[in-house]
Amino acid sequence: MLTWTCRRFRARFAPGSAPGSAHPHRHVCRDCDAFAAAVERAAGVRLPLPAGLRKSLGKIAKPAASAEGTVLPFPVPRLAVPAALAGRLSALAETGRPAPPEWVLNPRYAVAASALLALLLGPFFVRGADRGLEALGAVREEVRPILSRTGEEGRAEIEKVRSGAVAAYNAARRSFTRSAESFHGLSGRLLDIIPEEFTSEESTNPDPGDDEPAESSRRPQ
Amino acid sequence: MTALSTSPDLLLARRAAGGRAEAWEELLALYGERVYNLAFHFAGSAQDAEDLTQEVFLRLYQNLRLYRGDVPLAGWAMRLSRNLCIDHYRRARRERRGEALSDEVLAQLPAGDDPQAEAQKRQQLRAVYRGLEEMSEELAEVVVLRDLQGWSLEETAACLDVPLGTVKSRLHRARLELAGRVTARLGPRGVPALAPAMEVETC
Repeated sequence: MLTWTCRRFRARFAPGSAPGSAHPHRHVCRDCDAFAAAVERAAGVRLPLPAGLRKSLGKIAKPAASAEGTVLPFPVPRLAVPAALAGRLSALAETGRPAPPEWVLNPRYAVAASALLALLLGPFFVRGADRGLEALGAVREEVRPILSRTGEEGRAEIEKVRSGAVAAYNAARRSFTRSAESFHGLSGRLLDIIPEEFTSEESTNPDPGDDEPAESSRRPQ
Repeated sequence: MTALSTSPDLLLARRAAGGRAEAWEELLALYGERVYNLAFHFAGSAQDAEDLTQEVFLRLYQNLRLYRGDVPLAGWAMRLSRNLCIDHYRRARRERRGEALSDEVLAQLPAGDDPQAEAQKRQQLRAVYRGLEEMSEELAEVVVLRDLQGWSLEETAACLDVPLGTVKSRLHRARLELAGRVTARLGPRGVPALAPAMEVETC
């Protein structure tokens, strides 16, 4: 049966801790001293780290150690950029692509192009209406002999349809003519407004002293 | 500044995780031998101990960024490989039925000049290791870590992933049980001769 002193000593004994071998109980109890000495012996065993293992453990962090100047706070593998990808990436910086024309970049060119288009197409619209009338007259000449050969009843029906069509056509023609005339007047006014050359304001200003610099609107406040 | 941010272990871990080679070397110098010795106890042979140590440090390196400094680094590193260590430990215990770990350990140590002292040393080591092998795993582990390997209570708790109180209570029971087994094996003859004038009693 263990005495209270032995039990206390054994439960608290730790190798290297004070008072260790100088503990008074060890001098009076051989069993407890044998236990303490054996544990001290086992605790004193320290195997040196084998050199080969030490070397291989050092290699674990070698990839990270060579990654000098990394941005990320942890090691990352450093792979070479493939040659094909490197060629494509460097081509991005080359100035091989031509700059778009000025008329694409500047909205003033778009306004001028619209006005020019209106001037060119306006006469075609008016002339188209005249040609429509000519075509109608031609059709009338073609249809007249056919009508003369039909009966009284059919002629009345045809006349009714014809008169309705003529009325509708005339109304449409009047409306179109009015539009074409107003458009023609507009194009005439445009021609009066726009000189022969549609130039920028800066280049036409003869007095350089009154000229406002182009970048004045971007001047810092 | 908080206590965590001033932890030397945390600073070391952060430097090593950041790719500082000298920090990794420092880490190896601090913990390499400790981990290897513990791995030897878990594995039971030099070759397995090397493999286990390498595995522990590999996992440590891979997980260094996750270390927060709330537990000692050595214990935390061992905990990363705890399952691996336990597998080794159980297998080694099964395989060492007729062969003591003390023989493996002594084979690694340089032989002394005094044959009598060597024999006594061998006897003491065998008594301790045999006693540990006969104990339950959870009690043996705590004695190995705390008493034989000299780990702190905090490191032991971190390694075993149990509360500090559990470590203390296990240690109390484990020491008593080990003492009983060792003294039964050694008897009073296993200790060095005491002073002749001293009165000696046995339990």
